[in-house]
Amino acid sequence: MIKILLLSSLFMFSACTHVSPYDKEDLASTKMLNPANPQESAFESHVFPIREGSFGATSGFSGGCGCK
Amino acid sequence: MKINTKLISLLLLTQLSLFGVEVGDTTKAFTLPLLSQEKSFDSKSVDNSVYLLNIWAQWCKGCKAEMPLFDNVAKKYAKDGFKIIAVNIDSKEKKASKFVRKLESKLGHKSNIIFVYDKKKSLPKYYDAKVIPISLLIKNGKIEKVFMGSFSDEKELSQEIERLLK
Repeated sequence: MIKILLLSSLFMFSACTHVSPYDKEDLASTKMLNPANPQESAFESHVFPIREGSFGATSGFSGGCGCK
Repeated sequence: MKINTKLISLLLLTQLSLFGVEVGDTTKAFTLPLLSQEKSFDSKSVDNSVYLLNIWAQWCKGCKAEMPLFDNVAKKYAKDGFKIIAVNIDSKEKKASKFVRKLESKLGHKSNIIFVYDKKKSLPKYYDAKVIPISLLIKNGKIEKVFMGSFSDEKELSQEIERLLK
């Protein structure tokens, strides 16, 4: 029983916490991206969805037409 | 070590809340200030009608992208008493107001959407919003449809509104 309680405490007192989508204002900030080379990163995020024919799950947002 | 799987599953479930707002849930009554206005909006005024409650933020690109669509839909069904209430949850009201001004200048008219400001995020907390944006289609105080994410076209939304307006 003690082992179970110890194991469960790992989940309860974990340093990781769930952030609700409506609390992600700071996380959504572009400052949080902190790329090594901002210009190259902006170019890559523009080109990647066009080259791969897909977009989403990144900060990129366009209609896939390459004209954003 | 013998592990009690049932107990561990229960403990895990208490840590994770898997379900958010669902069809059939009742709505929360609210009074919130209108965005960049001194007046406030009371949900009682739409209690007996069909309306869309949209939760959005200025930092969410998808939320902003669907606003012209909402404006169009709100205008289209205004004669039937349909309303769109967009609840902003930004930490700074100024940012949202700036976006609305920009939107209205782009549209070339005053928006048909009712913008309210929820600084304390009471509505997304109450509805346990799992995504932003989230839109709830409501009739007579009951949730009839939950739309997660942003709309790419108004077809699905229009169909649901027409179904509820009948």
